[in-house]
Amino acid sequence: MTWYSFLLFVHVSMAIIWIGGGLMMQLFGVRAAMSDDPSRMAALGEDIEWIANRVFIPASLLAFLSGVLLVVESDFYGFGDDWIVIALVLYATTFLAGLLFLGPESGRIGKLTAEGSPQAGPRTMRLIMLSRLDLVLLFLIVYDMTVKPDFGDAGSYIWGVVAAAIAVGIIYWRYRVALVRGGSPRAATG
Amino acid sequence: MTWYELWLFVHISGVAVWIGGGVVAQVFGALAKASGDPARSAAYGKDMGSVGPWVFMPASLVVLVSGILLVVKGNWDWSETFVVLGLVGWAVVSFTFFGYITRAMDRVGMRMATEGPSPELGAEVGRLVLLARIMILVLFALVFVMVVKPGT
Repeated sequence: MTWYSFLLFVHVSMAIIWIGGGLMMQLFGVRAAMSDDPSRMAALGEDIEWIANRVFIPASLLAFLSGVLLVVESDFYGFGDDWIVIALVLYATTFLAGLLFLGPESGRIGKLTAEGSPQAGPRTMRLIMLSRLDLVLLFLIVYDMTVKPDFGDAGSYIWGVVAAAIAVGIIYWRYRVALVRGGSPRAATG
Repeated sequence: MTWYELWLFVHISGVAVWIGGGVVAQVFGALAKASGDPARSAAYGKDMGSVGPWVFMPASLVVLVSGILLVVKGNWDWSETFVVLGLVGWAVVSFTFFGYITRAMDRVGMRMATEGPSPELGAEVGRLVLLARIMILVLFALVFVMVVKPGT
């Protein structure tokens, strides 16, 4: 085993935990919202904050660090490669969104739900919508990492951007429909 | 974009859903247990009873099919060590997860909801969670094998 393959293993493993874990949080959120049980929503909000701080942030940092070391260790990749520039920009966006907003907001909503605040429902729905958009971004990074496009490869870009745009459109449309239906977290799951 | 790159994207995405989802599901389970609230543990059991067949099972099938397509498109030999280990590992983990753990977890969740928590059910959940964690470790070992590709 080479140092490069070890770093690649760490990189892939951390990305797996980060992305798959993000999807699992969505699913647990949907299940909790469908239960219409405020105490379960409150517990979920606190669990998500715990997991974000102790699992997602370390996993995403390790994915980033191992990715940087992979480029340093590699003889054929460089920080100027188009797909690496794209990945770094997308990574910074999703990491900062999680650190500065999604994680703390989840904790705040957990407390609002426990207090029975009317703000809890709409804010939960907004958080669900934003965290789904974040998930689209993460899958876009995986696409970028596997296809490794350069700026001259229009076909690969179009496929990736079109797929992401469709996913974003569906997510936003479902959010708007849920708002019209009444603005409860349960409506966001329908 | 080549077909190989497309299948690799699908393969890695499926792996992320299956393994990454499994890890975080374990953390949710640990948090539910640590809360000491039987209702949360029961809800977790029920959630896992539906996440298993509706999320993990399709993801594992996506991983298998895209992996087979990668071998075909990538001109890999079926006798390569990492291919053989991948197929055997997939079979062991899939049958353990979907043939046993998911069903047993669903049954325990149902019993907890109707009978309430008991030391017997608690021990059963603990045993299933331990087995699930071992399977997740096996999956990470498979990721290692896929990345390092020993023998190539």
